[in-house]
Amino acid sequence: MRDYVIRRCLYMVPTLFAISVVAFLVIQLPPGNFLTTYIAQLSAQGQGVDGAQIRALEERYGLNDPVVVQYWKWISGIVTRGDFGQSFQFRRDVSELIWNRIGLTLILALSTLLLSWAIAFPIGVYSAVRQYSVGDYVVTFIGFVGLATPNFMLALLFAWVSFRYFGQSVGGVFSPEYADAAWNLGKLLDAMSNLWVPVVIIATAGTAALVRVLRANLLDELRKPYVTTARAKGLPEWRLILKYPVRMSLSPFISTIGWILPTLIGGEVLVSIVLSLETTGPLLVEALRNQDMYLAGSFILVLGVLTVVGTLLSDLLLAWWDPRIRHQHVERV
Amino acid sequence: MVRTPNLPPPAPTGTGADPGRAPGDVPQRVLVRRRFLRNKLAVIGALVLCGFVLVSVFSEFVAPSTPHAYDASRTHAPPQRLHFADTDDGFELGMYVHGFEVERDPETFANNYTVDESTKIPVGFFVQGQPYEMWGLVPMDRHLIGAKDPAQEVYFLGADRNGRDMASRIVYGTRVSMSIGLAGVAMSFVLGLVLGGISGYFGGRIDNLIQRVIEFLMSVPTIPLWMGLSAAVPREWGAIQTYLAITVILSLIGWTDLARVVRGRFLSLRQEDFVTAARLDGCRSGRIIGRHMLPSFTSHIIASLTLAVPFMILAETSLSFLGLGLQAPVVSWGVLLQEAQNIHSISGAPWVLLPGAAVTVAVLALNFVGDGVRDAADPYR
Amino acid sequence: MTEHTDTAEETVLDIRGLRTHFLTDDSVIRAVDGVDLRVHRGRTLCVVGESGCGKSAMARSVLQLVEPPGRVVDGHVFLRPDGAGEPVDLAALGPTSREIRAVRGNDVAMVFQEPMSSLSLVHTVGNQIGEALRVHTGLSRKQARARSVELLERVRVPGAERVVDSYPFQLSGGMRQRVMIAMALACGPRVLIADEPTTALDVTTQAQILDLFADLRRDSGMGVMFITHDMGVVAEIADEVAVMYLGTVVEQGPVDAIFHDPQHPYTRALLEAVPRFGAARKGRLPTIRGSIPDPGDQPSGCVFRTRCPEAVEGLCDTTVPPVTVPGPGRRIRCLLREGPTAPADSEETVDAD
Repeated sequence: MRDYVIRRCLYMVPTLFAISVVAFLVIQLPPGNFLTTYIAQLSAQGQGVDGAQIRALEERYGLNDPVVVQYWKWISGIVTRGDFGQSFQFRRDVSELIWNRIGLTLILALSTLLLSWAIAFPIGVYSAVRQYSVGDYVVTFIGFVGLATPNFMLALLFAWVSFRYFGQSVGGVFSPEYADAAWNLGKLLDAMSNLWVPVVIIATAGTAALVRVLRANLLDELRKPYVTTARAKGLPEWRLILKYPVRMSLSPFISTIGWILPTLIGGEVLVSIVLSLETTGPLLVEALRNQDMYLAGSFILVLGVLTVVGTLLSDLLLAWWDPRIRHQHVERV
Repeated sequence: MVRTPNLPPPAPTGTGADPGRAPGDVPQRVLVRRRFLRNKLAVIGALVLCGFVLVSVFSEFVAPSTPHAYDASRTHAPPQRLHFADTDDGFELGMYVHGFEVERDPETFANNYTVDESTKIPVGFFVQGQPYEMWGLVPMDRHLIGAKDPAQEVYFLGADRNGRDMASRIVYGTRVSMSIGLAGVAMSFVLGLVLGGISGYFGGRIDNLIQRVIEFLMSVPTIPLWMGLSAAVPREWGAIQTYLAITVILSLIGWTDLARVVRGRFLSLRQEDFVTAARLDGCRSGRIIGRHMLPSFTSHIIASLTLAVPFMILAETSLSFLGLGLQAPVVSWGVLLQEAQNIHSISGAPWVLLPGAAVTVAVLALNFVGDGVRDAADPYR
Repeated sequence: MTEHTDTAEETVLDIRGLRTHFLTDDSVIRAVDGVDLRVHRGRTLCVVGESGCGKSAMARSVLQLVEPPGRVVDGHVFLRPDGAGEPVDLAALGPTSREIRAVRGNDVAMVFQEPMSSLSLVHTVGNQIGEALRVHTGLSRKQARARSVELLERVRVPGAERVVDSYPFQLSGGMRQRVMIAMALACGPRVLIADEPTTALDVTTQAQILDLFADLRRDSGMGVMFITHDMGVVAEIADEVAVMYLGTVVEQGPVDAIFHDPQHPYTRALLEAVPRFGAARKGRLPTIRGSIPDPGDQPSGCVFRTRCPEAVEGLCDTTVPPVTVPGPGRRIRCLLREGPTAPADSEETVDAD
């Protein structure tokens, strides 16, 4: 088990490196460098350009150095000092801007994950065990619709319905009276009362996908000989289904965290924009539209790293859950 | 000791028959077609899909108007209900819609529409209307459906904030969104087939490398990444350039699934007895791949392709919705939905959400068809 | 051969007119089509036949373990209790009823072919062996584990204390099959149904497992129904033999009689297809011509006539052969063999020698 954990952690290193390269690419891709954008912005506002400041920035990011050196300066700044660069739009360090937002994104993604699991598990088991029943057809159909509807459409529909029929304008994580308050129980409850809507909306697509995965896996497992063996021992039907095939089909289910996390974070970004939540989504889009590239790149970097860490956790969970992996008896496909 | 020939024991779950033997020796593709046709949802999906394809091929003709013709006096005009028979005095067959009374709100300057039951605008098939060029080549002015009087406008699905006909815009959007889905999938298909094939064929270090790349691409949140890449597409680029760039960006990330399918199939088929048998019979590898391996997984490829199209469509819609994908004046479902970003325009004119319904229906149909093909191709899974 | 008396009480499992059909969209497949068999206390009945002849479906039908679309549609499976008491008809119980569950793994236990796929790979060996005990006797987890160790020792698994906490994928094929057997023995069943338990094993391991079966049967006095397609295995462990073809038993009788005086053309063909020492190198080994017909489309009359070298046109393709009794304990379904017709629903028992 220890070997497995070490090996799995080492696997992460190249992935993390690749993510940092991609994030850096996103920063570098727009024509010109950020300094030209910055200067253009300053002169557009009618401000003089401070030569000393520009030189300081050039020095900080090594703008006149080769790309590799620039990358090195950028990434070492992040790793050693937590320096993500500067947002030109807000004239502040990126690190001041992103952490709160990312925290909320994380809370959203995690609660969505838990909710989709809680919904998908019983439904998936039911529709596999009662294959071709009316309930199965209904669930499958709803699942299909859930998969086919873009998350932001659901958010829009929700916004419309609540505006039209309840006269409420949805949006924001905090009600005005709590927006600037320090964290306390009231603020927490307020946040929760506003967050359940986006959580439900983001969870739809993920839940639909999970139900389909679980149903397909369980259908496969239900036909395996070991189920007959268990039945031949005289176990009650539900008990044996939960103990054997469900337990087996949960392994691929757990490993879905790996790909459901990216989907959730993507969905979160879109839904947050529609519902104007104070998470990464709106700020990221704004940064991209304004070519505020250090801000955008940092978001992509941090979200990517978080996803990879999430995948690592799901793999470790899987190893704990499945003795075949724990004992290194992995069937490689 | 020689045993009597022992095939796998009869599967108690299946038919009890030898599953390898097709009754009556019907060719596999006939069986696949028969099984597909038995799946009602898949057949319905296929019909709906045919409708979408026809609409996108003949957009100019199908649309009652053109997507860019506007009428400032008809901003946010509501959908007009199509009546098939006149029952006011007696019964008279014939399609018509009622006209509007327009009142301008003096404070908000918004148009308030009321249906004017007394006016009737006759509607017919193959009518003269806005001139257009079929496929950009043939100048025409006939439309599948529209007001009989070319001077009149009808809005079956309402109008947007510039008084443009939503029905026409959705029809044109179908062409762009469906084609970007297909083009994106075609490109990912090439990437996936080549890289997945290399991965499965050579194995070893190259396989390992490609697998790591795939794992990486699958572990990164795609939407932020797509957003980052499309933000880098220069604003000055024309419609066609942007279109191509977005397609490339979508397929650069979307090929991974296909590559995995191709590689997995390749690897598992390589170990199948019938492939070994063909090899022992002295078949060349070209013949083995073309004659023995490909037929047994074309259906899987078709299924994966069908299931990949909706993914592309959803991605394009999301990006364009955020203003990071296609840009007006190009008309795609996502671009159309940009109008729906504002809660006030949605509450005033809910029909701006209709392109979203088109997305859902198209994606649903594609999913049904893809699942149907997969189930028909592989009934024992 | 063990001593026994020829009384009906010695029969523990009495299968009469069992029919199991698979109902698919297009057709009805009659996997088991009127089977009469008896399993006696302390003796082994071997059911032999080619793949697809319905022997597995028959074995599963006893405990109502056939999965949909398969269903036991007709017949009786009487399980006789120890001592006095009325026999229970298992075929009349619902497949998920509490009554059939009380029999499964308790009075009648099964061993399956592929120990790798028939065991759960994510549960420990001890967990899976002790499970039947915990269900049927209400032992605690700890007691069940201790009992599992004893059972493993009984099936001669070395290092049982260690094996009990390991997972099946850590064991060899032979060990896994021993675990399967230990699992079946857990509640001391009166009937053990073994569905090709040695097929997936290599020859040496196969011999060891067969020895184990013989010893267990002798020690415990349980009746064993042993499904196989291997005449060599039959010769080694059977007391009685039933030959199945396309869902029916074409011939049955004591093992010596079947081997030395096979009556049915199919039994003869099966025995001729077995190579013998010394007889080799003279021409090809005889084979049975043709292959089993599609189960969805059975021949009229005698099911074997399409492959039978002796088939008589006008007789075998029109008349369903009745069961004849050419000698003590023998039953044959062939129109070409003389003998008194068996009385319907007879109470006579199959007699060895």
